[in-house]
Amino acid sequence: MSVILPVIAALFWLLLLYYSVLCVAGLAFRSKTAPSPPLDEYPSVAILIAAYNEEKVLAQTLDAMARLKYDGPLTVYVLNDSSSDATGDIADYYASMFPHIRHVKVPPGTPKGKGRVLNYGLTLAREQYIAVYDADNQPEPDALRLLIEAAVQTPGAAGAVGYVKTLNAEKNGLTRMIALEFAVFQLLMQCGRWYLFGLGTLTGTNLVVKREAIVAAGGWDSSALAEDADLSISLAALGGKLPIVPQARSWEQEPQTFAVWLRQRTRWMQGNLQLIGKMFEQPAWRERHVVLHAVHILSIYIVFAAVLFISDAWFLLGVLGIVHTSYTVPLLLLWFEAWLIYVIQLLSAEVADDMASPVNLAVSFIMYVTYSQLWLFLLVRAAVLEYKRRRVNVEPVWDKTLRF
Amino acid sequence: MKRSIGIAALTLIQIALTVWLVMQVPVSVAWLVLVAAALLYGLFLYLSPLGSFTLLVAVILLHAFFAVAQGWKLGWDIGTQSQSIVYQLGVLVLMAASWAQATELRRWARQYEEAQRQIAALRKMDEAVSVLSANEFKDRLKAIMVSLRRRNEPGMIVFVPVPSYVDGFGGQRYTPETVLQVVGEAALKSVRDQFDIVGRISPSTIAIVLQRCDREGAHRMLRRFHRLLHQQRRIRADLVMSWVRLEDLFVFQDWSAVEALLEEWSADYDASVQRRGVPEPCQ
Repeated sequence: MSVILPVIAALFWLLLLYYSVLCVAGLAFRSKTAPSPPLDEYPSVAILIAAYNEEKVLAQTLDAMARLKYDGPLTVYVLNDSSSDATGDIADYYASMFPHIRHVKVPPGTPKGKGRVLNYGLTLAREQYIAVYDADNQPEPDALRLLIEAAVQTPGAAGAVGYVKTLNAEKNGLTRMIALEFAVFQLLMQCGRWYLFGLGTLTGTNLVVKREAIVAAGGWDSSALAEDADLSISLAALGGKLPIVPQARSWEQEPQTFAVWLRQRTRWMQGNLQLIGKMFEQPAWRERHVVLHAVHILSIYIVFAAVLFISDAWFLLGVLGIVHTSYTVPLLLLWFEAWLIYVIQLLSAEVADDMASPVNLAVSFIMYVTYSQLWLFLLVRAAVLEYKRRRVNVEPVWDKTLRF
Repeated sequence: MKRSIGIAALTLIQIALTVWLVMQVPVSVAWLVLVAAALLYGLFLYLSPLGSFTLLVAVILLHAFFAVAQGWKLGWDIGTQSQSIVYQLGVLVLMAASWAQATELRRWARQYEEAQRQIAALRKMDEAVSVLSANEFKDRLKAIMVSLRRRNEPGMIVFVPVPSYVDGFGGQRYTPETVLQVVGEAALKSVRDQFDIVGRISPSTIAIVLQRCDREGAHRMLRRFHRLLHQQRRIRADLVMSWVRLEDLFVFQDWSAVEALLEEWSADYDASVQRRGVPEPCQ
């Protein structure tokens, strides 16, 4: 025990060092990087929007699509996956007014989920670049142009990834925490990884990828629950880079209740566990760039979670007097620094995104002991579900996020 | 005032913490602490806000990792660890206050420069042209009607009611903002500056008033409007033109009749297509 605990503490500290370096690199990237220069000619783009019962949000999304400023040929495909609400009527209404918006009825099929719907869209779209937006997304008018400029002008790029901001951040404490989490882990850390290692991961929405690259990667994996991360790895295996474009912003609604958040995040977590399993099964996924992705995913989903669990258990047992630790490891200092580094990361994202406020500051102080600890619960829940699914060998069930 | 108080508070925090830190270290290295603080402050002022924040974060993190390494190496007990945490918090607050103050000063300077630039730009600019709100439109139209009647001149009013969509929005009427924005922009470009007016008289209707203009003149304006709609390539131009209705202002003898007309058109589109406006297929 006297050897294991210091080793675990050292591992925990190494991971914190890694995230601290990513944080500083992300800030440096954001403070230095200007958008790519304009293009002489803009390539054709197809925007794919997978839509299943999206009547609450689709009109605003299509309104944002109609406002996009893009100088090249642009077609928006609303891929209606047999919706039973007014999704189809709204898509028809917009298609009647805007010649570049098309309502496509996707034939019913299995497995249910975004991957299959996007693959159907891919068979229709002949444009050079494919952009993907979720049905609740409202990209800023310049978002698509900025993504295309980065994708075309970055050497070796297969596409580009933008930033997803939270539309309902101020609705309640949960949405505020989600907004902060996105700002740190979806943007700042992504920027750091891109700046240091040339690594980018697709985020499921607000992204563009060359059509030929998606086709070469075999399209989206229809049975993947984290189809975006899955495609990122497939593209990386082919050597395609995905630059991060923080200026290309899209706004989306995040879960407003804990139950909806839990279902959504369990699906994401289960999708990433699926991906980890796939990494060991696919020989093509052992290339250099994929190994970097794999190390990153394993560090988050396995190593960090395990170390966090032991750290929590160790702390609790120590407080209850069940375990008496020697002072060879400065536990109190380690705990303080872990909290401090987490808060610094959140504050960095707030400052970089102009989100700094007394309320966000207060929320940042408590997130380490509240929101971030839910990670462990999610991991266990997703692992159990994934284990059960594999044991009975059934297709994963796509759990659609409820809109508000 | 709030800002000045904030800056003063940050300055006080800086002074108090600098004095406290200097008292914590031996006199021989106190001057080093002061030089380091001054150097950092200078860099905060020199670098961009995000650049200086990156520096701040890097220094705080380095300090944190250094403290842990030291604590590990020297086997600090709880008391020493607590002391180190208090010391770290002091340094952190001092640096954060210095950064916040430097950033605020830079922001002041930038806002002042921006304000000067905007004042210069405003001096060069004529009165801004934009789509009027319903009340502004009504007030301006009232004045226009008076002058048209006094000079016995013709005038036309064009209505562009965008069909609303009802189902699927929780029973709420919905008109795409983008359509109204495109129609409004095209209308503004197709009328005479400082003479004709364009207003949004309801959530779904744009109205255009053409002074000293007969039906033929209105058709010329509508041809320009149609061409501009074609050029923007987003919305179907022919579809928008099918919504256009024209009214002759000359036929209205008093303001109350015009007011009634506006009220009629600012109701919903489903009813307004039945009204007396003549469809104008303007090619």
